Amino acid sequence: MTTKQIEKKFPAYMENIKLPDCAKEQDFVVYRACRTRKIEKASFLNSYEENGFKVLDYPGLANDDPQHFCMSVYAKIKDLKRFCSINQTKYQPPYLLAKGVTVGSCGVSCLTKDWKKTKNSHIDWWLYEGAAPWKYFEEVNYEEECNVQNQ
Amino acid sequence: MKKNVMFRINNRNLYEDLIFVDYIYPVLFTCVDDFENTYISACYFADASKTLWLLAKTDPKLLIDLLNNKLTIRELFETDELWAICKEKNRSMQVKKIEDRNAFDQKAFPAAGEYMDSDIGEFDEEITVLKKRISSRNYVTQPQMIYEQVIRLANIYTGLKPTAERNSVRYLFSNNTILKEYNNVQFS
Repeated sequence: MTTKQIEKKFPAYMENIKLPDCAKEQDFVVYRACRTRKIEKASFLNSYEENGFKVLDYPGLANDDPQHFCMSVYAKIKDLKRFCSINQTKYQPPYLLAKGVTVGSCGVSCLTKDWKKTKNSHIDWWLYEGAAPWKYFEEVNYEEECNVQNQ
Repeated sequence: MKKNVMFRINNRNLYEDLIFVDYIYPVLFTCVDDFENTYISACYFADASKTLWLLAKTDPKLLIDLLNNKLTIRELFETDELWAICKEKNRSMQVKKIEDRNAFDQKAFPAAGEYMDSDIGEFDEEITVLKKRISSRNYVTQPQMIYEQVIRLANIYTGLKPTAERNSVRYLFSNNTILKEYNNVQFS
């Protein structure tokens, strides 16, 4: 399916999920760690699909919280690296760091800090059914990207 | 305003405090108890069936060092006061003290050699809070002296020595619960 053929429709399991008002089709430059060490669909699943079509069992996170259904990306590569260094069970070095854009044709996105009490650069990206976000990402080097972001 | 209770260790509530690393849930964060003891916690695994955390008792000074890139994240968990916490779906939270951290799943610990790599000013707000906490702890020298006198007198009259943690008692003093805690001081 090409980008143009994607219907701007969310998966059926998101039918009753209310997204925050700030979620829009907008282009953020973002980073994501690829668990499979390849830029492919398996490394670009939303949290719900990543967990076998189940919501996370985290205390205080309601079952209808829209974040269960988003794909997490970060605008700052350091925030991503910190997350990976603590989640060694899922992200064993050398995991692949990918840089891309939250293209609107794949879904709607927003900074988490615009709707939740948080301060880092986490971005929620709710993907349309059939979207192929990995096509808009490429592998990057951590040190080089830190230099780019510090400029 | 009372914060949310995150964990319960040794009959003490640990409240949510500062978040250093966030995902769709807090990944690296601090907790405090009623006596202003500080803890650091890392959520190292979460899926649909369970969530796992490491928890270590720490010191605000060490946390400031972490945020100033002087200590690695892992180094904060290299302590003897370390717990593994597990919350399974539909079950209550399980807390277990880690007696031998070298025998524990090494993937549970933050990756070796990783610093926060903080930018200048990035954690100023958190550092200010931690510095205030250090200052407030230094104000309790007088209750500490009173505590020591009480213990000395108790020792003279009973010949027994207290086994309670001095720090715990000190902070209970600052919360005006001196009698309650004094009654709880155990003698060996």
